[in-house]
Amino acid sequence: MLISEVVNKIKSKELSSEQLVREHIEKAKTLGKELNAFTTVIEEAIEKAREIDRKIAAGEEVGTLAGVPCTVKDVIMTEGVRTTAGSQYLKDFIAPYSATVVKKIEAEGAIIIGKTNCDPFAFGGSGENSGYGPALNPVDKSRVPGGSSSGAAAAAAAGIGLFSLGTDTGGSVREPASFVGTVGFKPTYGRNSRYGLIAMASSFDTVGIFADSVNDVAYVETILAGKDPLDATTYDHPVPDYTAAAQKSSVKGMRIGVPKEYFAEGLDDEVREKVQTAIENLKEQGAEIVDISIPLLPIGLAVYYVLVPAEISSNMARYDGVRFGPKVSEDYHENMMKGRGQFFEPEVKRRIMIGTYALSAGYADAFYKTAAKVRAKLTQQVTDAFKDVDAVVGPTAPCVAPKIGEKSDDPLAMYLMDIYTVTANLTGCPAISVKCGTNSEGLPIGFQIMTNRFEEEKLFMIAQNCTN
Amino acid sequence: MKLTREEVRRIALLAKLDLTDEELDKYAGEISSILDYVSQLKDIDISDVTDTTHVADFAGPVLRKDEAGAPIAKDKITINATEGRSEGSSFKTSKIVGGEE
Repeated sequence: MLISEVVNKIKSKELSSEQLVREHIEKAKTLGKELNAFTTVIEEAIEKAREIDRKIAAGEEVGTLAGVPCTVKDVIMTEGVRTTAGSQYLKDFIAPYSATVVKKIEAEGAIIIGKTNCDPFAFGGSGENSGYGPALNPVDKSRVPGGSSSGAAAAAAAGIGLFSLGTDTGGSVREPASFVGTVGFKPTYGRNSRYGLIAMASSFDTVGIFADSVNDVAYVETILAGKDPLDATTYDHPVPDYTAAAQKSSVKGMRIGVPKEYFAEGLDDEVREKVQTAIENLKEQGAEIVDISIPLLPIGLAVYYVLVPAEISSNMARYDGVRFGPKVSEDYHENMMKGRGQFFEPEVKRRIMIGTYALSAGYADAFYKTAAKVRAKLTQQVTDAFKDVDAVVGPTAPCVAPKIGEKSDDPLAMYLMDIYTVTANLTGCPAISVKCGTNSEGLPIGFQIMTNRFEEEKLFMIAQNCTN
Repeated sequence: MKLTREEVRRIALLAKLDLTDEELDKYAGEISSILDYVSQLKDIDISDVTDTTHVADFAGPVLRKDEAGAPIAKDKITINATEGRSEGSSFKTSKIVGGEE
């Protein structure tokens, strides 16, 4: 059932929000616990659901998400609720205010039932870096659900909450969506507010959405999108009705670009086959398939792993042991060094170290400035590609969900899972992952669509076509 | 390119991370392999690109008008001040300025 249909049933008193929220909290405490999908389950949510039911009974106005249970990744602040960012460093941190995206969905009546597990500060591609243990893939519990929005993906695929807010800095919504077989969307950079999001890499971070269907994602995005005075990087562009766009669902006459660089070595054969079938399907629906080349695509990951750690090392400087973090010493300097050394997870320290190195005297030109220029050049190539095609498609990830522990000892192998997703973050473009089949073991395979900046409507139209 | 333990120790100090020798050696190897991977960037011709920090293009002014907004209440901001660190509406911290630093 679509989210809009659930809302209608709640509004018409056919369905009680309290009942629905109670069921989802119960599921979060049982199946969600088994999957380690949550850092915090919010039992008080039942009170809020009861309040929605009361308003409806009293004939008061309620919003477009009235009474709908949902989940929020634990790097997104929720006032008065513990927000750990998936790190032991913030294990006791209570969010003093809510993120704008949280305020927006709550203003429409959404009921947040839990904070989802994730890689610490969203650093990771499998969920295994979390300071609270790895979340498990509901399709196969011996496998990771992907990351960094690991718990969000696991919860969404397990049907806990009707949608889930995640964050996508290099693929952290799309890659896990691919691994668990759900829909995962990353907006244009600056489309959704980042205010109240615990920062990872500020020129890359976006708030994205997991849901069962493209329709549901479009429905929620219509609420999230827009200018926020509290985030200077949000745009004033009008917000169209994305739901209406998703329902149009036509690709007739569209030009769909298939970059040859997405199908080079390193791509799993079964993934390649299913993605090619998805492309064939688009052709059958009337789209024109165009072979294109974006020469710098393969270098995107190298650009990403310079610029993102550099921004991370700057952003993480706020964890100085004064305003945040555990107290381990009376001495300011020792407290900072030891607190960070002891309570940051290994991947957090690794990325801070890479970034610090890339920005340090003597290396900043060779690493940071060079990478920033290659980013600009890649962005130009992608912008040029969109002069000729409506969308660029390919696999979301080069493989299906790995086994837990399979790649966790090799950071570079882990980073390579992001090779197709980072392009959208480097260039600021919106992108979506939809399930295009399963492999011989029944593991989901994701199909990625990317459009030019602010062309979410087109993105949803094409994505809808791929799921029909 | 292989970083030495001493180079990694220098970076850790810059990054304000207290690491064990075991960690220093582990990161030396891992960071070296990542630096090797990203070194392919030097082969790209960027002579025609100007310095850039952001891909977003903001046409209008990004700063808001200098008007008072709704502030976050002090008691909310200090909610995370742990015992012994908070006094009333302030954070109590160790001495930050002065001393040998």
